[in-house]
Amino acid sequence: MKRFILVLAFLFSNATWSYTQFIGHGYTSCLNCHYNPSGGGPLNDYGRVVSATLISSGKLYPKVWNEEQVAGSSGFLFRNPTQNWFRTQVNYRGFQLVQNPGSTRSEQKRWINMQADARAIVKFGENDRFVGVANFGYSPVPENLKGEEPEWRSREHYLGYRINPKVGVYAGLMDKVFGVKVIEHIAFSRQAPEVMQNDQTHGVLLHYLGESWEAFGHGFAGNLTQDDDLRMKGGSVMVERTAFDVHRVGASVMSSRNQYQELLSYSTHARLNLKEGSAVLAEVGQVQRKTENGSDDRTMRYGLLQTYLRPTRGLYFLSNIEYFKRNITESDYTVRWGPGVQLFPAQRLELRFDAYNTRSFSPDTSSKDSWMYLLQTHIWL
Amino acid sequence: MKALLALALTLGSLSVLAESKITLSISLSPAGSFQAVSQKLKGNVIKTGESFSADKITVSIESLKTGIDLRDEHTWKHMNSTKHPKATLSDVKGLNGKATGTLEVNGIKQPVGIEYKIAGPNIVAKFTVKASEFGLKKVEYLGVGVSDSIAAEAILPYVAR
Repeated sequence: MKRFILVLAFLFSNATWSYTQFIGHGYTSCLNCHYNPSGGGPLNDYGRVVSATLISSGKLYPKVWNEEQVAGSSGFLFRNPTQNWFRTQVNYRGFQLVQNPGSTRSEQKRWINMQADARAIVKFGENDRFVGVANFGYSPVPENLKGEEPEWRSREHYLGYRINPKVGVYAGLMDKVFGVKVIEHIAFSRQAPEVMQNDQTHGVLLHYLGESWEAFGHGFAGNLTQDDDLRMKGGSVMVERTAFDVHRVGASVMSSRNQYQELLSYSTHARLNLKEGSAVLAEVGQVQRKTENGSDDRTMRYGLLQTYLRPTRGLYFLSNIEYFKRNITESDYTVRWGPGVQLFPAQRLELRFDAYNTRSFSPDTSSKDSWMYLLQTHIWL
Repeated sequence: MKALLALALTLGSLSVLAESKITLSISLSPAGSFQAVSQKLKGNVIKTGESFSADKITVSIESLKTGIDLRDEHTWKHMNSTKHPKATLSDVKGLNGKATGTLEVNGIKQPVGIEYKIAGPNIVAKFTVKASEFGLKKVEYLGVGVSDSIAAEAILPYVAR
């Protein structure tokens, strides 16, 4: 069971934490708030101010503070940077994982430190035309990979250059660009195409940002810290189009292979702005998997529907529905759903509750639902 | 069933109630957009036969809300709300869905072309302006800029004579 919990923790953890639902605030592209145009990783100065003045509640700030003062305290260690070329950030995330809550026989509780990152950014030029990002941190390793994968690792390190406001090129270790980068790496939409917590890859990312189109082309050679036979090499393309001024619809294709398997993933997605911070995220996709000896060749199918409702500043109510079919030629499938609450009482602090019910459907066997919940704490400086 | 019908009729009728509202749609660079909305649009629109006229339709700059308090303050400051607290649309004359008028923002007057349609008791007017033509400087905050072109949609009840 201990091993199973560690595997779960591995799945729940997230390397770079992106909040794609913030399209509900009118931010169609991740580039407004992140150095990485595909989202996740360190926030830029604008992103930190948005975090302080829009995402987080203002209730805990001194009453005499105005919003300008709140914004001015959004830098590292509450300071307003005095220079433009260097930024640092620190992130911690941990959670209480409770499985089978209420069961006298099988309830399991455990606090897990998921993330402890130190980040450094150098940037030069107008609108941060040149950026260099390094992100080093802790990540729990599942039992079966202990000794094979490091607990402390570089999560990201890349250089970026905006050739012009529309076109940028980025090279280094980054997340693969594919589908909606939802925060839950346990999501089937992240598991099946293998774009989870430790699936960053060395490569070159081209980014185009037009008035109504955004496109990414990512060629990658795998994570060079891994043995060559394990590195997933390939490429991905993702295209998004702005619909009705405030929504985004998109599609992704990714092909990758190592010595043991070959994956062809394709999906389509939508990010819908419900206004006032509320949003809907949806994705459907398939992953064709071919193995070296043909023993586990199959096509997986998944669906994701997430809703974020924001009744007031600093508070989001979530709902999550997922579908997964391990092999589309078989009848078995899994549905996972659950509510959640995300609270940002002040900038630098996120508290989150997620409950998950997982049910497997099969014509041949029956299995009991499984329940679990997470209580997360996220602190960033 | 009667109660349900009454509720449906009530909800349906809400969409044709008279209202006053202006929405400014503003694009961000590198990407995204936001809206500045005010429910405090004031003025009279007169329908005479098939033509429409209006004068001194005003909105208080500091009644515009963008969804972020800090952005509200920046918007008001940028539009010189202390010195010029109102935007005013004057001398509006329209026929067959098209109108002309004079818009004053930041103390500067510019002619504007307007397209309009009737929606129940309201007139819905749309026009696009360039902020730079009203002496408003290019906006950029921590690398995120605002487009010069701003689309406006104004909704006001009209009175037939």
